[in-house]
Amino acid sequence: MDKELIEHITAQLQNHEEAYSNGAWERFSEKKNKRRGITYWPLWAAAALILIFGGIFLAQNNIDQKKQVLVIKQKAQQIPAADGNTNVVTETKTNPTPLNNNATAANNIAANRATKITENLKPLLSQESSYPRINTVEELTPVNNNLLDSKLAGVNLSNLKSKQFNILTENKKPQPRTQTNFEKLLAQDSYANQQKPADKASGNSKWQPDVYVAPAMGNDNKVTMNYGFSLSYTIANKLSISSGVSYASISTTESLDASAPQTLSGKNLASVDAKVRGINVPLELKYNISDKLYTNIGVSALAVLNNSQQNSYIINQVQSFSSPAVNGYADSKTLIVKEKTVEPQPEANIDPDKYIGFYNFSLGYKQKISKKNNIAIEPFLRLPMKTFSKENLNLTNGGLRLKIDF
Amino acid sequence: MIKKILSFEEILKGCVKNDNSCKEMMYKSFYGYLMGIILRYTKNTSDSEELVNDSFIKIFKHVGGFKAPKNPEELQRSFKGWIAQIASRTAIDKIRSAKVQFYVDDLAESEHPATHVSIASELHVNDILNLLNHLPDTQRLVFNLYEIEGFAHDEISKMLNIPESSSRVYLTRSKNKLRTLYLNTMVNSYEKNG
Repeated sequence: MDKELIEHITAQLQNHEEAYSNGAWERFSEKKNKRRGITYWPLWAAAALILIFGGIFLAQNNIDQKKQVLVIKQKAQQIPAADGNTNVVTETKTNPTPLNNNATAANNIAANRATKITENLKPLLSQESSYPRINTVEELTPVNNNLLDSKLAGVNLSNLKSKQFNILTENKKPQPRTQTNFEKLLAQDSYANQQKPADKASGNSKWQPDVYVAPAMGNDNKVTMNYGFSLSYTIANKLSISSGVSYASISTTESLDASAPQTLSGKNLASVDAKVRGINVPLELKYNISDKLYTNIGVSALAVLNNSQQNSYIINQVQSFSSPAVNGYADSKTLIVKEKTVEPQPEANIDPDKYIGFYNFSLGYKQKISKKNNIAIEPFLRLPMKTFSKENLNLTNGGLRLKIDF
Repeated sequence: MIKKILSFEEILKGCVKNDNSCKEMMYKSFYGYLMGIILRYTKNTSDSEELVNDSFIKIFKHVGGFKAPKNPEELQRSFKGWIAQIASRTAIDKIRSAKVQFYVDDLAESEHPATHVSIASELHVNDILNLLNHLPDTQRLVFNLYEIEGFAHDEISKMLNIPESSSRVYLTRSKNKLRTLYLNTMVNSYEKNG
C-alpha cells in the first residue's frame, strides 16, 4: 500500500484512543473532593517541627546568653579582686604604724585561706554582691605592690608589736571579703579546668562514627526496619555535618474511597499498598542543643533497589446459589456480590524513578554508657520531596533511631 | 446497587444534574478518548492524566451548556467533538503557560523541498507518538492543529498569536521532520534486524 506518511499519521491519530487506566476515576473524584484538605499534612508537620526546633533553639540561646553575661561579670571582677587582696592590706598604710603589721596580717590571711577554701562551695552568685565594694576600695587606694615591699624592708619589726592587735582586728573586717575573692578565684580555676577536658575530648576526635537501627512507620502503620552507618564531622563547637549509608525500607498505603463499580464488569481501585526498599544516603547538619540533646536537619537520596506495589480492587461478581427444596423444586438465586481482590501492580506501571529525595528532621537524646561510647535515641521524620508513582503515594514516614557512637 | 445500563443520553442528563454515578460512567468511557488527544500534545506522561482531569473538570462544569444536535443519532459524535475541543484547548493553555519563550524557532532557515514518503508497513500509534515527541513544541502544536484537528492556518495564527505565514512554515517543517525521522528510524530498525 502506497499511502502518504502524513495521511497515515493523521488517520491513526484521529482514531486513536488510549485504554482506560485503572484508578483514574478514583484519583479524579478524590482530587475533586479533597482539593486542599488534609493531604497537605506533611507540610504542616514540617512547619510544626521547624517551629518546635526554632523555639528550643531560641530558648537555649537565651539561656546561653545569660550564662555568658554571668561569666563575663565574674571575670571582670575577678582580676581586680586578685589585686584587691594586696590592696586591702595596703589600706592599713594610712595607719601611723609601719607596715610590718600588715605583713603579719597578710600571713594570717594566708593561714585563714586554707581553712576557708571549703567555703568555695558557696554559691558564686551570692558572693557577687560584695564585689562592687572591693572595686571602690581599689579605686581609692591605687598602690603599687613594689612600693609596699620597699617600705617593708626598711621597717623595724620589734618596735611595733603592741599595736599589732588593733590593726589585726581592724583588718578582720575586710578579710572575709578578700577570702571570698580567693575562693572565687579557685572556683573559677576549677571551673575552667572542668571545661578544658571536655573541649579537648571533642577537639581530639572530630570524626565520630556510629551505627544505628531504626524501626520506622509509614502511613500504613506497618513497622519496617532500617539499618545504617553514619559518620559525622565536627565543623564548629556545636555544629557537625554527617553523612553515611543505610538500608531503608518504606511502606505506604493510599486508600481511595471507592464504591462499587457502576457496571457489572468494571473494577474500582480501592487502595494501593507500596513497599520501597533501597540504599539511603543522607547529608545532615547536626546541632547540639546541650550536652545530651541534639537535632538533625538534612536531606537524603534513596536509591531504589526494590519497589513493589499491590492494588486492591472492588469488583462485582455474579454468584448463583441453588438449594433443592423438599417438594422437588429447586430454588435458585443469583446475587451480585461486591468483592475485594488484590493484584500486584504490573511491572510496566510501577514508578520508574530510581531515586527518591527526602527531607529529614530528627531530635536526639544522647546518654553516655562508657568513656567512649554513647547511646542515643532519636525520633525522626522523613518527608519525601515529591509524591511517589502515579497514584501519588505519600512516602512520609517516621520512627525511632537507636544509635551507638564509638 | 447495580443500575440498568444507561443510554448515552441518560448519562448526559445525569451529568447535567450532577449525578456522581453518571459522571463516573462518563469519565470512564471518555478517559481513553481524551487521553489519546492529550498525548498528541504532551511529551510528559505524568502531566497527561492531570490534563485529562482538568479537561473533565471543565466538561462537568459546563456540560449544561452543551447544545445537543437535532439529530439524536449524532449526539455522541458531536459530544465527542465538543470534549475534544475542550481537551485540546486545555493542553494548548498548559503548553503556553509552561513556556514563555515559545515561538523562538528560527524562521530564516532554508526550507527543504517536500518529498513524498510512502510507508512500507503499518506504523503503530505508539511509534507515531514517539515521532511526534521528537518534534519541537511549536511544530508539533501546529501539526496537531492543522492536520489532526483540522483548523485552518488563519485560525491557528489567531489561536497561537503568530503570523499566518509562520504557521505555514511550521507545518511544512514539521512534516519534513516527521518524514526524515520516519526514514531514519526505519533504516535504523532494518540495520538492527539484520
